[in-house]
Amino acid sequence: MKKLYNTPEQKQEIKDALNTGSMLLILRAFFFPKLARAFLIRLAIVIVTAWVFFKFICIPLVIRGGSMLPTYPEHGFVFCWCPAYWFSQPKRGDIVVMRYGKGVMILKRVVALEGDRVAFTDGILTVNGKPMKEPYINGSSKWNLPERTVQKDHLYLVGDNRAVPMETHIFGEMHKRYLEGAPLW
Amino acid sequence: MVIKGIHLLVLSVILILLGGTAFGTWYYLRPTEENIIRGQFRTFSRLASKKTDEGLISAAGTAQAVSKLFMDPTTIEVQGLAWTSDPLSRENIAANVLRGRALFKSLQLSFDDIEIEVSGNTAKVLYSAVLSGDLRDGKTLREVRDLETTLKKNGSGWLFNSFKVREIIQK
Repeated sequence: MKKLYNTPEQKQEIKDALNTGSMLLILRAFFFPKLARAFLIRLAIVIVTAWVFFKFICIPLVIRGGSMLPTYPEHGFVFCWCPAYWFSQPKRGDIVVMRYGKGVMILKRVVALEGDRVAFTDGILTVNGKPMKEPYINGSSKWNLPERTVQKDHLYLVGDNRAVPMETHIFGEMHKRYLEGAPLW
Repeated sequence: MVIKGIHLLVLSVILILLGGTAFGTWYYLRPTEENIIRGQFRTFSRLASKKTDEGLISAAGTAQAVSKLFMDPTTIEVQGLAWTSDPLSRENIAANVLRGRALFKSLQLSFDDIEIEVSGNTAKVLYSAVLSGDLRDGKTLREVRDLETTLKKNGSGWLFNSFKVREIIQK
């Protein structure tokens, strides 16, 4: 099988460029080699692999909005690691990425699972009647939400930034079928 | 040219790849009930969407075409809006589609995360829908909802029979 990398033609091309001493030619020979068959095959493999990887396995996300402050900055960048929940289920306290219509995802923390009873009383989150310790939250709040039971196959999601009014904060229960993965960091 | 073993190997690989692609294409596009239902959603999305301003006759034609995708009557239940649960005739649907689309300069309706369960002549579909566009008053709209829809088989096709619309994330 013909070699697809470090082919004699490429080596010769770089050698010729080095002999000229021109940095421009060296860079061109390295980054844009002649459109030899081996280079085109390698390029196709790289493009297909990158597309599969960044489309289905590790999706790049730009964070807009500060609902996860201080854990994630308002204009941050993160990757969604899709295999995170291929063989396991989210747990309380996990940060998850959920699909929110075409082309948009939301980043939230799981605070309760199906069957759990959730409520907010003067900003304190209670799950199954017990107040939860949440060292990760930003600011104090006066959120009040009557107790409700999380439906089957749903996750109860809340952002870490509780300094914003409850009405403007997107949170609540969401079906597990919208689960995309977990942030990589 | 002498045909060597390597040529046969390359030819075999190419034939396998082509065969795999052909099989994959056929498998994806074969006319199963699920694919016909997905096609119905694509048609709904295409008809409901609007790229630029359109004339009244064209808009009326589109509204009528959309209404033909629905059973007569169809029920639409929007969580929190009890008044919408009355069954709607095709004429009602066409009128609502015409009025609704007239509010927009441009409009896109897309469906994602479609899960289909077919049981005899009925299909239950769970999915999310995004309605986005530019309103005539200059505002931009993007609304996401979680939907459960039933479709009934009608001859060789499927028609929308009922919709349950709810918030995708509920407090």
